[in-house]
Parts: sequence; C-alpha cells; structure tokens
Amino acid sequence: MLMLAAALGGLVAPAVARAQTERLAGRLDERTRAAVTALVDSARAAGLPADPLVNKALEGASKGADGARIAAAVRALAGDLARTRAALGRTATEAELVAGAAALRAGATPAFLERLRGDYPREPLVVPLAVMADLVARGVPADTAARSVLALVRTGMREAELVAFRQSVERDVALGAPAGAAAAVRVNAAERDFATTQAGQQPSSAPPRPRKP
Amino acid sequence: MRQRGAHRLLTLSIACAAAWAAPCAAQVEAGLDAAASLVKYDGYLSSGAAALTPSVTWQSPRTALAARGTFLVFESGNTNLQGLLTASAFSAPLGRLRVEAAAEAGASAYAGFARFAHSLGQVRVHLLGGRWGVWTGPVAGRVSRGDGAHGAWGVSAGWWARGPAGALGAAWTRVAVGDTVYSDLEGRVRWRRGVLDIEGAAGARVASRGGGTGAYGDVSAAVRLADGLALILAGGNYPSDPVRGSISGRFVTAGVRLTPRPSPRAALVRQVALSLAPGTIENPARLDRARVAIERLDGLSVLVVRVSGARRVEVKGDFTDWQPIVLAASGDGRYQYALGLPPGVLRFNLRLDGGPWGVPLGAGFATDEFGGGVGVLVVL
Repeated sequence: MLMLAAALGGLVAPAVARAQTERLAGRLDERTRAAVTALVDSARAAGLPADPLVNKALEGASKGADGARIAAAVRALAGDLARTRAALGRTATEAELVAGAAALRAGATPAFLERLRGDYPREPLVVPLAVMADLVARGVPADTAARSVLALVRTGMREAELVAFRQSVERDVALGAPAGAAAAVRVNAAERDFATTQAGQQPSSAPPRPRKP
Repeated sequence: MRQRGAHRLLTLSIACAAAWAAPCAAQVEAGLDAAASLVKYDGYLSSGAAALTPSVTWQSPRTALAARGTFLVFESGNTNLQGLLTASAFSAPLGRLRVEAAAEAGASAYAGFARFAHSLGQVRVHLLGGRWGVWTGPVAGRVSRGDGAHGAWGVSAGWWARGPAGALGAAWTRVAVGDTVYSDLEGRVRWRRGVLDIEGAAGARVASRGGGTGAYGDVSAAVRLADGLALILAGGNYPSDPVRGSISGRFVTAGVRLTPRPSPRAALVRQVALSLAPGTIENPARLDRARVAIERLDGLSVLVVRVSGARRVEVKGDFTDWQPIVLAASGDGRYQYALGLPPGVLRFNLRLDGGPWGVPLGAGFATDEFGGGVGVLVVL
C-alpha cells in the first residue's frame, strides 16, 4: 500500500507542478515566466509551497508590474517563506508559511515567529500571524503588534477572539484612536480580564473566555 | 537652522496626533537626527553647521508629551542650543467635537549670550469628520528675550484632510508678541510611497508689524534605509519667529535619523510628518464605501461585499488567479463571489464601477510589492 501511494505520489507531483506553472501561461512574457518558473521549481525542490509564489507572479502581472519587479517579488516571497519555515518548523502548514511571510514583511522578526510557535506549539498560527500583519497595516508599530499578539496568545485567546480583537482595533482607529494606543488598550483589557479570571473572579464585561489549562 | 519649522510641526503634530492617530498608550518613541546643514540667516553670511537633534515622544489615547532638543555647531565654532517641551490633553468626544488643552515651553541660547524662552498655553476645539478635521482656538503665554519679558497671545484655525496616499492641511495663525503682530497662512502636504516619505509646506506671512512679510516653504524627504535608520534630506526657507526667538533664513540639510528601538516603517513615517493625519500612513487605496466579510453558506466560505450605490463590483485575487471577476448582486447592496474560498490567507483587490482597485473595509490591509495596496483575508 505504501509503495502504491509512493508510486502515485511520484506520478501526481509532476502533474501538480505542471499545473501550477501552467497558470502563468499567457500572463507573463517568456523571459519573466522562465525566471518565475525557475524560482518556483527551486522553492518546490526546497519543500516550500509553490502556489503562493505563482499567486504572487499573477498578482504582479494583474497589476501591470514589469518582469523584473515580478521576479523580485517572487524571489523575496520565497526567501520569506524559507525564513518562516525555519522559524516555525517543518510541520508548518502552507497557510502558516504564507501568514508568517506576511508578518515578516510587515516587520515581524523570526524570533517573534519562534516565540509564537513556542507559546502555541500545537495550535494553528495563521490567525495570530495574520492579525499581527494586519495591526501593522493599521499603523501599529511592528514591535508593539508582535508584543500584542504574544500577550493575547498567552491569555488563551482563540482564533475567533483574535479576529474580534482585530475588528475592535479597526473600529477604535476608525473612531479616532491612535492605532498603537487602540491595540495597547485592547491588550491591556484582555490581560486584565485574564488576570481577573485567573484570580477566580469574572471580568466586569464580556463573558469569560476559554483558557489554556 | 530649521527649528521654527520643527516647532511648528511638533506643535501641530501633538494637536492632531492625539485627536486622530499616533503611537500608543504605553509607547515611547525616541529618535536622534544627525545632520549637516548649510544655513543662511537673513543678515548673516551663509555657514555650514552640524546638528544633533534628539527627540522623545510619549503618547496615549488622550494625552501626548514630547521633548526635542537641538545642539548646533556653526563653522565659527559658535553653538546654538535649543529645547522644546510640549504637552497636550484631549477631552472625551462630545459628538464630533473634542476640546484640547495644550502647553508648550521652550528655550534657546546662541553663543552663550542671546537667550530666549517662552511658555504658551492653548485651547483648541476640534471638529472631526471621517477623513478630515478642523480646529480653532486661542493661545496665550509669555516670551522672554533680550529686551525683557512680553505677553504673547494669538488665535489659530486650521483644517486637514487625508486621502489615499497622504494628507494635506492648512492653518492660519495670528500672533502678537509685545509690539510685534503677524499673521501666517500655511499649507502642508505629505505623500508616502514605499520607503519614501515626503512632506512639503508653503506659507506666507500675509500681515505683519515688526515681523516681516513674504513667502516661505520647505520640503523634506525621508528615505528608509533599514529598520531604525533613515536618510533625511530637507531644504527651504522660513520666516522669523518672534515667539521662539529665531530669525528668518534658508537652509539645506542632509542627515540620518536613528530610531533606537527596532521601529517599523510606520514609526519612522510618523516621526517625519505626523502633523496632518498620521492615521493615513498605511491606508492607500482604501475603499471605504465597501465592506467585505466571509460568510458560511451551505458549508462553504463565501466572500460577501456590501456596498451602497454601486452598479458593478469586481474582485481579483489569489482565488481568481488575479483575473477580474464580476460579483453577483443579491439585492440590498450585497454582492457575492459565487465560489467557495479555500482556507488560508488570501490576497485580493476590489473595484467599484470600474474605478481604481483598492481594499474594502473588513479586510486586512498590506502594501504590495507593486506600488499599491492589497486586501488580506483569513479563511478558517
């Protein structure tokens, strides 16, 4: 059975690879396509996901970027994916790698990714990483955003709550709060609630959240 | 050198920053500018100068404190030492209004004998809209200089607005210091793209008794070289400032800005020009008319856009191979991408009625590598 699976895998993998790079046909000029295909092949050989790289090239083509810029963007993303995998480990999913690469691009450090993985060893990291990148995009300094996400993770926040946190910050900013302050205030509130529940009391507002044991 | 401009910028920045957006509650930002300048004060020969300008700001949602100093050494060996402290506090929102109380104190000494000091208090009423604000209010204080101490008073009014790639604003001030009375009109604009941040100002002293008249303007550019390091280039001219004791002049400056904490681009940009509307820093290509959400329908994750008054809504992204797809309208301003979305991090852009591609509310925003912005969705 294992041999059959391996044999099927050997047949399927080239087909998948072909399908991925065929998405570039007609979207890039020959020179750029060759350059991007080489980058994609080399990333795939290193065990990195190819789809995000193809998507990046297609995004560049869609936005009218020139070939050199597209190739540079794909190369940079491949580098970020590799750095993310080094920080998160080989078990990181494609979505985590993409989210981690976005976080690195936003200003996160590999050390942040490592700490996040250390604090959240078995949970998916896609949402925390995406929230970190999003906070930066909203004007929160990257180090503040990273500290905020780490603090929230330590309070046992789950994905839905992290998404709600992001929305709260977005709303606060829209209402006029400084981005960094909005994040800090929301994190402080979450930590206060966490400390309150740890002490055996209920927080004054919002129902108690599920906590890590 | 450019201290008057810096004072003006700093004062304005504290006011607008606390009203609208700036660094965070528990956050202190510090920086150090090291620059070489060529200055030409009116009535003096041009001279080279080296300057060190440390600064630190502390900001919370309603309060802001800032301190800035400058140590200048001219070719002659003479030195100029300047310091400025500003503080600002805002009331809770009163509808769309906020009231600000601000204070400023500063001092300068040139070559150990010309000394100036000032302290000002100010109250401002701000009216804030979604992407704009106006303010007005009086200012009063005391100015101390070589010929003794004088009362200072004035009034100012201003307006600012932010757009997809930057912000602009205008202010009018009328100030009386002892026998000197003057009115300035000034416009300021900032524009940012990638690692480049540019700010320009143009103004005129439109009426004056003892303060001179004429036009002035300056432009500054900050180019981020690495995290915590930026190249600063600036030049222009400025009028005299009877309150803070600077005389009119011209300058060109080149230098570097160090931000000791490993601060991201956003902090750097704020440092350069947070006076107008720092909340705009990461908001190019926002489509504020539209809001996107992921909804679960029949077990699928579906992209739904809500927008009023649009005839055609298109999306392109990772899930369409970055080919534009027209969304199906389902009434009441609701548009939907018919196919289910795969789990993961998806990037996309949206377009309304054939307009520019942008990022709607509800999505994460990221700058792309191609000179624009891209929306980010996480599908669980």
